[in-house]
Amino acid sequence: MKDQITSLISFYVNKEVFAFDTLKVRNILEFGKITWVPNTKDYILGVMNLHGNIFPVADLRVMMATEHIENTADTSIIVVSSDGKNDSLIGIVVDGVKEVFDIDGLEINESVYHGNSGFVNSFLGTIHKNEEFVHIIDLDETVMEIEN
Amino acid sequence: MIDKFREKFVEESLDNINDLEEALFLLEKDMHNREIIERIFRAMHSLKGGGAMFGFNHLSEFTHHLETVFDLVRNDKLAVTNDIISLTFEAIDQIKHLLQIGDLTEKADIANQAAFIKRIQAVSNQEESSASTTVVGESSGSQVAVSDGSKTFLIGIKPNEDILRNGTNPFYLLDDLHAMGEAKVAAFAKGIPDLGQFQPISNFCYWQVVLNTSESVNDIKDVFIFVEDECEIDIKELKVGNIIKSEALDELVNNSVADQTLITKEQIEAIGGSDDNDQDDEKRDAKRKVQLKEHKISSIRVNSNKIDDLVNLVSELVTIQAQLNLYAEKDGNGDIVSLAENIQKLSRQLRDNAFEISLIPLQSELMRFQRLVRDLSKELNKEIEFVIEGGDIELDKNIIEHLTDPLLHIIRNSVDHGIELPEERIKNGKSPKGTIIFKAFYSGASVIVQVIDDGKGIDPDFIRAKAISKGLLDENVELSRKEIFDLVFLSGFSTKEVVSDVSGRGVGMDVVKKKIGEIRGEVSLDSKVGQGTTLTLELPMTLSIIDGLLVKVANNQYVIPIANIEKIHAIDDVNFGNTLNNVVSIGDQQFPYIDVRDVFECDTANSGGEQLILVKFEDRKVGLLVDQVIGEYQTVVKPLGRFLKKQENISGATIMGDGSIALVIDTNRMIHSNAAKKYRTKK
Repeated sequence: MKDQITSLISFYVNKEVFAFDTLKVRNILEFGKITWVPNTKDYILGVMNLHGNIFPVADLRVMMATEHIENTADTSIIVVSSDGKNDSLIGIVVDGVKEVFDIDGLEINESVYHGNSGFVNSFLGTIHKNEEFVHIIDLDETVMEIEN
Repeated sequence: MIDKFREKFVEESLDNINDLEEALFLLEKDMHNREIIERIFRAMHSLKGGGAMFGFNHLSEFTHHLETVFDLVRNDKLAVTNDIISLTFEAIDQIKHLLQIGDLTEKADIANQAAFIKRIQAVSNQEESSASTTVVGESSGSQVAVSDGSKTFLIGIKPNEDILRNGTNPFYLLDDLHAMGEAKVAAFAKGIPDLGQFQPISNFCYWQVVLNTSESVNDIKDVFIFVEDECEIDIKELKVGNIIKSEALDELVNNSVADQTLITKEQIEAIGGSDDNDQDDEKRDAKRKVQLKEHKISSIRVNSNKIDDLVNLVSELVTIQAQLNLYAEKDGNGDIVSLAENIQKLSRQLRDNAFEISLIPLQSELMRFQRLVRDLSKELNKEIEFVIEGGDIELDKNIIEHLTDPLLHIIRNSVDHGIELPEERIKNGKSPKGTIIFKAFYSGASVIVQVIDDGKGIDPDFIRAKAISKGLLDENVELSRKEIFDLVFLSGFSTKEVVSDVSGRGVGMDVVKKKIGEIRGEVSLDSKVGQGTTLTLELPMTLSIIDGLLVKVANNQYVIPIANIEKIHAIDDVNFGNTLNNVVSIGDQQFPYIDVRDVFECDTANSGGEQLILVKFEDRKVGLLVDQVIGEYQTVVKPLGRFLKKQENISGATIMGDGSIALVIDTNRMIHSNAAKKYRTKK
């Protein structure tokens, strides 16, 4: 799985750096108006509309049990689809998007991240880049958690 | 029902023929391409097989000969020539004609086809004789007439009244003439008297025969050698080509038979010779082409994706139109307002039209059910009659797709658990043969589908006891009959002790309910012990656009489908006599109600100006308490995506004119799940 990844999009959650496979990312939106949906899990903030598609928005910060949550101008919504279908679109709220980079030559190590990560427990690996550890989140596992 | 299949066969065959024609064009460019030859052969083969199966015997026979040619071609026994290709093109026209009219009934057509088959056979026979390819051209009717020196005669045969007394059968004379070549006979029977004066041993008829033959006049006379004294024979040679197959002659013969007037030499010669013959062919071709065109207009086959696209586009249009309305209202310019209204009218019509297109009859799936009942009842040694009512009811194709599995399960249940074995049925005083009725009908904006069996039924007390034993129900809870039957749909409930491999498979009625719920349908069950069980599905006719009522609950906008709404009451009229039990009285009636804010777990306080919306729920009316009613809204329902599928109270969302989102409330499920809470206490 991780061998197929060629580039990553990295972002901050509570000052830690995490990343998704770029291929799964559809769009990056500003944190805007989200329509609240009743009777959902607390990390589901509601639904948004992107080009006529309605998709739910999950707050990764809540999912990872971050203690201090504050929306700033940097707060973004990364719209992903784990299987490429419109039906599987989901927006992920993060503290800020950092960069997109190619994996070329960088070594993906076994992830040793065991932070208090709440619902996010599966990682594809960790990259050491510019004195920082970038943890690659297993998106498929994470959305499965949301679906159940 | 067979007509439906025939229609479908014709439709598919026309597709097949298009494919065939396309392949032929390719073959013309590349005469040795094996792949194309195979493709042509296959297309012909399925035409032949299908034709035979659906009673197109002439089509099947005709295609058989054509197929033979291509069988030789694909086995390298015959080389593709331009002649073969043109002949095949011509044959395709004939096939279209045959698909159009079914089996041939006109004599001329039959003879025509026989001639055509001969031409085709001539081609396939080339392989053996290695003859030159000119056969194709030469064997066509008109030229034969010229080349082999055949002549056409008009022969009048008028036997005496006494001819039958000698044991002569005039029909044998006609047969003899037929044997000499191609002939057409006109019979004149106007001389036959009324039944009272009728003499069975006297002849009252006479005939005229148009004969095309290469034999001489003397040979024809020889036919009549034994009856010369008892008949008036009149043989005239005509100055025409072979016109036996021409339509004009047909007409002439038919007319003269109808009018009982003799055909004259001049009349036939007026039809003309070999040249005119071609013209006739052309005329007929033209006629056929016109018929084909007419058929194509009546129905077209479209890829279902295209219909989905159309419906999506119409949905987008409706959304944009809502934006336009919003803008027009704000702007206040009269011209724009009236434009917006016109567009609204049009988009409504377009919407209705697009939906109608995506509706398909239930019929398409019913065969599978019939088959299931047949196979299963054999397997279980039961005798079951499967009756279908309302198979022509139409539903959105997306709904039908979702319906098949649950229905298969329901019917399987009826066969396995419902209908008893014949011996048991006899013992209970029933007919040994059980009946399962599949019934579909419209009810308001919904379609009701029922599966009714006359089997042993289910005892409500048994269900209740079972639910209690499984911990699904508290012992002290009083339930109505309907609520008891609803227990069957709870997960973890299965009425049969041993899960059989017939209806078991690990899915219970809870899965059926879930699947039907996915298409916003409702399922309910009713049963009488010893008399049978009825399962009722209530389905929406379409999924994507509904007329809705826009309401506000705690700062969010929601849409309630108008089809479900009975009445709207302002809070002032409503007397909350007993808020503990959530019952309101309006006028002299009491209704249970649900506070939507509670259901949605909104923590905001009552904003004032509440309104109560009475909605239909099963056989009752239930009130929904909302903050504010905003107005009617044409709603394009969009799915919430896979992550919010489990959401019980919301069936979808819609994008408002200003780009914001309103959620669509599924009133049935909301009321149901909130009512259900009361007997799920023991958890």
